[in-house]
Amino acid sequence: MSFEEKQKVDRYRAVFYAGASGDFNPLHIDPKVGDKAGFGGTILHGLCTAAWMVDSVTRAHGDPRKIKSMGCRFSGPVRMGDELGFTGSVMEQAEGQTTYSVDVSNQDGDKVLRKALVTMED
Amino acid sequence: MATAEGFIGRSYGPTKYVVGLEKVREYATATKNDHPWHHDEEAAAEIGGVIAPPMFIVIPSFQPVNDCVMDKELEINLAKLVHGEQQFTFHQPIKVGAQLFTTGTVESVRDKGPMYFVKVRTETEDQDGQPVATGLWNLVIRH
Repeated sequence: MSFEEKQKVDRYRAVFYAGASGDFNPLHIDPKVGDKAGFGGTILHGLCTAAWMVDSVTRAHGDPRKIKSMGCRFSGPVRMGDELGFTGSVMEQAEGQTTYSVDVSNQDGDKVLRKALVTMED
Repeated sequence: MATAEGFIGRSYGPTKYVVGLEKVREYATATKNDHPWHHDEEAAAEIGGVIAPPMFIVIPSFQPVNDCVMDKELEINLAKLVHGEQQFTFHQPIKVGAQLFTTGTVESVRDKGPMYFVKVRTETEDQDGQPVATGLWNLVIRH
């Protein structure tokens, strides 16, 4: 029931996500703006990391239509070049639904999401 | 934001968003999601057509949240705004061709020292008035 997967944040991932989502906040696409904000370059959209978090549960357990709810706190920046690990485990099973708690950390062990939960219909 | 409590209950929208096939494919590609139901019309025929990954919902439902943060009366300094937390409840899959209508409502405003927190609830319905998703957007703004 537990699972693990990794996502490499390639150099242009935030540009792809900006184009697809319409979120062109310069923090995500302009390295100078990211530098000025103290991130040493651009940072990824938190909602892209959240999408990977939810999709990691789908990939481990099948049908995307069975995802019933999600939640997370954005707790740290994700930089281009990072490698994120998504490690899921069952937190609760009740009434035909399973809630997974997902640890989302970068290559240094920093948690970039906290309280990351996904509930799926069995 | 001087008189924050006065904004609780203020709502934005409904905004309309039509789910397009190529947009769903673009989003799935951008998030490196290769599930055939998000890309391939033939493969998705078994479930009635292409559906979007669950978190695609952020695109249509962000519209009224954006209207909220841009509301001049709320005096939110965008340079000091960060996205703190996100929650969604999914009531049905997001189907290509669906017309989605989202209303955003300011649910709470809390002042905590150097920061304040604005929570916006979004309710997204389809063209038949059936619920699609409920979102809770927790925004953090430094004073």
